[in-house]
Amino acid sequence: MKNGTSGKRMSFRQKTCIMVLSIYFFIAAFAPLIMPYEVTDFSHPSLAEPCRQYLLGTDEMGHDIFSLLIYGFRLTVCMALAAGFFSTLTGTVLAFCACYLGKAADHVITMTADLFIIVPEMVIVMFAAVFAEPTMINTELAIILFSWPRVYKIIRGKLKDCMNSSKVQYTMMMKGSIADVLQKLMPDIMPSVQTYFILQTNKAVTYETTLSFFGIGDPLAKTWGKLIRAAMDYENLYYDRVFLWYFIPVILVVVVFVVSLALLVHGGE
Amino acid sequence: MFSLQNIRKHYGAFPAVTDVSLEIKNGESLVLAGESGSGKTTLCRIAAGMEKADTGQVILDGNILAPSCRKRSFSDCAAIQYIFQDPYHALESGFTVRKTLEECTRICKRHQREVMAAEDALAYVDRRLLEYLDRPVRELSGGQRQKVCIARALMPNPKVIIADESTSMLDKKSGMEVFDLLHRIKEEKNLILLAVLHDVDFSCTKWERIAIMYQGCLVEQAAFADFKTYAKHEYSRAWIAAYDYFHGNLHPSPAERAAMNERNADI
Repeated sequence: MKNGTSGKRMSFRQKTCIMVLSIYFFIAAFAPLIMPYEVTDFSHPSLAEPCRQYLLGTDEMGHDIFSLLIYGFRLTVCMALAAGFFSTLTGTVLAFCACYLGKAADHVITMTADLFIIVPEMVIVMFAAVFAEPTMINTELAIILFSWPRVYKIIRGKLKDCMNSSKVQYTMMMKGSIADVLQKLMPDIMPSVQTYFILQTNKAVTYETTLSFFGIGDPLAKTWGKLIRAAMDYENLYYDRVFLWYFIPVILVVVVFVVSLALLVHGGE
Repeated sequence: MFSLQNIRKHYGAFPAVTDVSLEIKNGESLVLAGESGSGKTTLCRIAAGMEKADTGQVILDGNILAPSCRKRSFSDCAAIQYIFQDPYHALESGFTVRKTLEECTRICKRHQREVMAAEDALAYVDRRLLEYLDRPVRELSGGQRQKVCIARALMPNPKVIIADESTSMLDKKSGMEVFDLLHRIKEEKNLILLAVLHDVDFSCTKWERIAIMYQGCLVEQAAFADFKTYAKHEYSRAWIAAYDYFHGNLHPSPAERAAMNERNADI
C-alpha cells in the first residue's frame, strides 16, 4: 500500500532502530531454539557464575538466567506488540465511530475518554491489575483498556479535520459506504496511527515491566519485569559482582528496546 | 426546475443566510455573487445537502429534497453535483485519476444508477487529460485537477452542477478554461449551472442570470445582460464598479477567447 511515509527516505537513526528491533523480533520468534534450558528447570546449581554452561550464571533458585532473559523476549515483546496493537486499534476505531456516527456518539465516547484521561494512566492500570485475577491476560487487558483514550483523542482530532475535507465530503455527498470513506481517510491518518502503535508498544513494555516489578500481575509469567524483581529481591545483589550478570543485562535489554521504539518515532518526524 | 425556498441558516447568533428564495429553470445558468461572508457558500452547501438549513426547502423538479444528504435518496444526491473551491483538497492526491473517477462508478453501480465511463467523462471534459488516466493526481496542475473534478461530477448524469468559486485557486487562463467548459457542458447536457463567483472578469459572457447576496440576504436578481443598467442596490452598484467587464473592457475579447480555446484544442 502506498502511503505518506513509505516514500520518504529513512534517516540513519531510524535504520539503526529498525535493525535493533529486528534483532529483538528475531530472538522473540526463535526463543525456544536459543534458550539452552527450560525456564521452569531449576535443577542447576544456584548462584553459579557465568561460564560456558550458564552464559549469565544462575539465580538463587537454580534457574539459568540467560534462558529467563531470552524467554522474556518472547513474552514481553509479544505482549507489548499485542497491547500496542489493540490499544491503537481501539482508539482509532472509536475515533472513527465518533466522527462518522455524529454528535451523540462523539459526545459519549469523548466523555468516557476524558474520564480515563483525568486519572494518571499508570495509577489506574495498577489499580485495575491489583483487583483483577493475576493472569497475563488481565494485565494485558488493563493496559489496553486504560491506554486507548490518548490515541483516541489525537486520532479523533485528525479525523475531524479529514472528514471536513472536500474529498471526504464528496464521498459523503455521494452516499459512499464506510469502505469508500475509509479509503480516503487512510492516507491521511495512517502515519499518525503507525506512530501511535509504536508509542503504545513502548508504553506497554514500560507498564508491564513496572507492574511485574511491583509484584502485580501473573506470578508465573517469566517476563523481564519478573527477572528485575527477582534480582532486586536477592539481598546480596550488590555484595559481590552478581548484579553484573543478574541485574544489568535485563535492565539493558529493556532500556534498549524502549529507547529504540522511542527513537524510531522521533526520527520519523 | 431547481428552487430554494425561504432558506435560513444561522450559526449561533450569526445570520449566515436569511430567508433566501431562488429559482433556476432547466438549462439555465446563474451567478451567485457577493462579498466574502455574505452566505453564498453556505447557500450552495445547503442546496447540495452538506449543511442542514434551519428552515426552508430545496426542491428539484417538484420533489422536496430531504435537508441533509444523509437522508436524501441516492438519486437525489447524485442529481446535484458539487464542484469544490479547492481542487487540491477535493481529490485524494495519492490516487490515480482512474481510481478517483472509478469511486463514482462504483458507488453509482451499487445504487443501480446509470453512469458514464471514466474515460468517456474525461475525454468529454478534455481529451488531453486521457494520458494522465493512470498517473497519480498529485502530478496534475490545479486546472487539470479541477477538470478531473468536473469529469467526476459529470459521470452520474446530474441535473444540477454547483460550482463554488471553482476558479479562485486557479490562474486566469485555467479559470477561463474551466468556466468555458462548464458552459459547454451546461449547453450540451441542458443542465442547471449555479456558480459562486468572485471575479466576473474571469468568467465569460454566457451567464444568463445573476443574483447578488449581501449579509445573508438575496438583495438583487436580474438577467445578466441587463444587470449593469438595472442594478439598484448599493452593493450591486459597488460590485459593478469594481469589475472591468462591466465597463466594456474584456480581456481577452470574445474573439481572442475563441482563438485561445481553439489553440488549446490543437495542443
